[in-house]
Amino acid sequence: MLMLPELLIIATAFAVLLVDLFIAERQRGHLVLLALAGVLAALVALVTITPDTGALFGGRFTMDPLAWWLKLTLLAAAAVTLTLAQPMLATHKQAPTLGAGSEFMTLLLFNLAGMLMLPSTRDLVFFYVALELATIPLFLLTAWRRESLSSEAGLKYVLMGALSSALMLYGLGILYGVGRTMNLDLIGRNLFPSPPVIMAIAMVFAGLGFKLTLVPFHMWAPEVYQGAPTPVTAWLSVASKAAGLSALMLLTYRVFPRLLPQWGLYLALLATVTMTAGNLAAITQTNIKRFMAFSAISQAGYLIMGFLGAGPNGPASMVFYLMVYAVTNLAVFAVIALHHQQTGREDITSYRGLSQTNPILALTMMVGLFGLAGIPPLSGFVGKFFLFSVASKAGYNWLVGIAAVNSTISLYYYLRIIRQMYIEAPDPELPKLTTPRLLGTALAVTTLASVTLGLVPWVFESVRFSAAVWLEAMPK
Amino acid sequence: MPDLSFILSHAWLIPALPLASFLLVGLVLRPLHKPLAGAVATAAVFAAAGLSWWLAFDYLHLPKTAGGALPVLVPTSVEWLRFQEGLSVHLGTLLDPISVMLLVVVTTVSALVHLYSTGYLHGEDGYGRYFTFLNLFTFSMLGLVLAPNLVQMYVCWELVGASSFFLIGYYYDRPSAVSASKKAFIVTRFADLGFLLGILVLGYYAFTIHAGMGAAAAGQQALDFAFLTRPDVLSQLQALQGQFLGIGTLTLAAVLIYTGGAGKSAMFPLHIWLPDAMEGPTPVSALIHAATMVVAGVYLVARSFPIFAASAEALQVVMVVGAFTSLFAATIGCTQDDIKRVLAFSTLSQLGYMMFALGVASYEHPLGYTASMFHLFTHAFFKALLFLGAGSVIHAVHTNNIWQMGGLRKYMPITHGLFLLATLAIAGIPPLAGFFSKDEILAAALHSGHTVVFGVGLLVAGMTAFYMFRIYFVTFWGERRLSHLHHQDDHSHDDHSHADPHESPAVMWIPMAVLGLLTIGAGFVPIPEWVRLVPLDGKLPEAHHGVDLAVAIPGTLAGVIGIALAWFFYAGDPQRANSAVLKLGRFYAVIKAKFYFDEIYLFVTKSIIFRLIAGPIAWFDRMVVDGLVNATGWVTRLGGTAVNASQTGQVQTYGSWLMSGVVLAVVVLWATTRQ
Repeated sequence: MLMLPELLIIATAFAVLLVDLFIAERQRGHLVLLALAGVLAALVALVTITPDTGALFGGRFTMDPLAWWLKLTLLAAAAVTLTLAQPMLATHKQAPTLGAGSEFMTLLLFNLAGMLMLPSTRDLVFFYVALELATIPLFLLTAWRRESLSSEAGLKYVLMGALSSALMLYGLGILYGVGRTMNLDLIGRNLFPSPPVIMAIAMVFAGLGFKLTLVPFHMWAPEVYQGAPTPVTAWLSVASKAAGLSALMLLTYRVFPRLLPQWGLYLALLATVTMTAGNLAAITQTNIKRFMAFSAISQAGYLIMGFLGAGPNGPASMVFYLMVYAVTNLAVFAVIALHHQQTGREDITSYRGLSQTNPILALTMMVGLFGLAGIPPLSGFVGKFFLFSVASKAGYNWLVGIAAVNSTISLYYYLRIIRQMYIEAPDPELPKLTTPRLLGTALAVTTLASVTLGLVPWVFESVRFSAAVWLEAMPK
Repeated sequence: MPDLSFILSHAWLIPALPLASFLLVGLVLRPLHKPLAGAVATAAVFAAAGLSWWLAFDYLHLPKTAGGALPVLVPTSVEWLRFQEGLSVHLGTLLDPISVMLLVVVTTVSALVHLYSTGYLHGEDGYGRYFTFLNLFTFSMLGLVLAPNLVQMYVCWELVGASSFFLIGYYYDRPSAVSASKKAFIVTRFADLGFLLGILVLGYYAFTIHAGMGAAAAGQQALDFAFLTRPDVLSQLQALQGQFLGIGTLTLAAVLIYTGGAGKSAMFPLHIWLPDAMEGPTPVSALIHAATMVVAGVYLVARSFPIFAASAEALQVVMVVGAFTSLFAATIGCTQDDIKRVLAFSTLSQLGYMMFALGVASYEHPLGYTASMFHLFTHAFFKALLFLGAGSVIHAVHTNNIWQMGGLRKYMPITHGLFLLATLAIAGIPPLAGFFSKDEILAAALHSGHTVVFGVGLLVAGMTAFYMFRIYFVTFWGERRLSHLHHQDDHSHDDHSHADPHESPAVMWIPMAVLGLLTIGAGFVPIPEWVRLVPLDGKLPEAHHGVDLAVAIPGTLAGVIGIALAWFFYAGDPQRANSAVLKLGRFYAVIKAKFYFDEIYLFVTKSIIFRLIAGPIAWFDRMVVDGLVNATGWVTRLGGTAVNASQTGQVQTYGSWLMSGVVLAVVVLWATTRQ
């Protein structure tokens, strides 16, 4: 029962691949419904059947309350991504550059399975396997559109991914050498500050910083975000970040809990550089997906502020912000995917006058962008508020100041798009967009969630409670 | 608390009716059907007036307290804003003698004005908008009257100010109306700043006291009037040692709150907005700038009277400013040519009367409190009647200038009769309403030992009679002068402006007739028996009864002399007035120019504040602040370009960045980790 969601996802992945062999070409469009059904079944299983504590395989696979929230976010994000991809998959026949739809879904589901397992791993090897499963399918998905930009992005992603994985593996190897055990709960007891440990930590941070798009490990992101098919970019921006965060939380709180307080300055510097560089670069972008890449980079800078300080507020606010970020970002990407699918344009100026041609889409996009900028009363504001208060309580008031300035800068560039949508006159050449029912539903759900998550107090309270339980069960 | 009848426990219905009608008329009916909008608005306020009379009847039949006073009730109280325990703001209703009295006055006058307006503004474009705001005003004023705490009062206070702004600027295509509405809003808003500061100061200390009292203050909030006027709280407030510029804390708070009241009640030197506010339609002047809103300041002081009574200095300020304003405004009133402006200055003068009556009151001599409220009550009716009468005249002759009227007695008999009745009332001629309340005020001043104030009051009584009969004689007596000169009139019905002036329609004179009846009867309402200052120990002494001849005779005599003088100068040979004016010369001109107060204000604001302070600040803002802001944007963009330059697209570059990140991480971690 503990592993039921993961098993359901893997089973669905195989089912999609198998069914694809036996159905007629015109019925292939329905495959996405099968995948969606699998994800939703896993979601239901997670919510209703799976207990939020328990262990399998001699403790190598362990469920904990915080992992439950991460898995919930990932499953919901996967469901939304599938609905985003549905229009693209439906045009498979007309577009020879696209790969097969079933492959897309299978890869996505395998990727999802890896990410779902990641927060539950308690063993170095299992951890690494899950992490690679959460990474390698992304390379393939990025290059799924067989054309130069997509292929270039995929290749760069592979090369950089290999480099970071190598660093990561090297770091984990040193940890094993020093800690003399594979068990993540036990390694920490044998770790004391020494040159090899510091090197290992630096390399692990590089590997995970790559996933979280922390500066200066972020360089792959703009190209990959731009080159990948839009639904993949959406998935990448949310899932890769969720995987990176869950891995980093696993290592920092479980393996290095005694060392974490000493890295405050490093994390604060990392956060500063990440949010500042991401924000500055985003200002001058003209391509919306590349723009969203830099936006995602700066969001990662805010996110890791939660590692500062002790107590359950830090992990709770990071997980909460991840949830808020996931729904808000997916809402924005839903509009971007729709717009790209029907107009073929990705430049920011192609959004001009959207409020006149498609007022509801423009409104949801505006709500999403304001959420990312952290404007009250949207959840983005509430999430940022918790993160900032964690940093402030830990004594990093200067960091909160920098983060506030960065939020102001970010408002400027988010407003650039809103300005295009609401102030500029529409481009008469662009067609009026039609919203497929499935995508419209996903858009409505994510937008609603991005408004309500922060307004309903019990969401954060529950996450915080889970984080407290989770922190209590940590090895001392 | 005894079992309350339906209307007493549901007093919130009274403000709710105009609010509902405001929303209905403003959002639904206004664009759809104008006559219906007016009818609904009027009906709602009439219903509220009916409920108010019912409420007053039930209230007066409640059992009295042990001390013999009418009870104070808070039948409704809903938590609205919660800051912390003891400092939450409730919306509710407070029923005590003065709020019930004002409830009746506001709804009655408002209902009559609504009815009158359906005729006065008939066929105008802004008809629906007018009734929308008139309803909003009525709701806000009722909310203010019923406020059980300072915050609700402040909120409604501002709402009242806003609706007054909308209504003064009703003819927004007229520049003078626009600037008048701005002036009214800015001046009162400026005064309200004092009110807000007063609430903050009082709230701060009251909350400290509240927190120190523990269970003794249970169920009360720090800003409730019921809490602030408790004897034990007042004595603690009085004992506060805090000083600001040599002024005690309680005095400071009281004077700041009074500033707000002085702004709304147009006390000197904040009086400048009220005469200009006459740019609004005349019924608005009758309702807002005569009977209801302008007395809000008086009501505020009366409502928080125990606070003022605890600070002799604050009460002194109220008295001196009130007495000075009454004399000052009466002087100017003698010289104005615009019928509505004379009425405006007369309102100022009467408000000064009410204020100084409060100022001379104390727990030893509580008569001033009663007299002030009594005068507020009677004044509302006869002043509203005067304004509606003036409106009826203006409606007929299309001018505000009294020298272009004349002889109207023949053409408008009903208006003439009612106007004369109200003029006699304001002149203090028995047995009309004004006589009783004015007599009470003068008696209060004399018996509390304020002889100078009594003298001023007597003088003002004579002047009031003089200037009121001046406009009466000029307007209604003599020969008809000009008939159709379009001068700042509310109306421009060119179709019948050449005809003889004629009597106003029934929807206009019926409300006036009702007010006429109230003008006759209001003096006999035993307000002095009901509205009394309850001593701190809660035991009322025997009531003061009857007319004090030592005051009534000189008071009436002053009125008669004033009338006689007006008759001498203005009823007969016009040369008499002219030669008197010529003899006074410069002195007259200064008074007629309202002592150049508007010019002084303009000089101070435009030439000193705008040029010497605002100008340099604006320059600094444009050049330095904006420059810095633009520079920030420019530097930020530059940073963006620089960061983007590192994004070369070369995997080799990316790899070296990644590796250098690892090296830097090692350095930083090495430096920060304690080994």
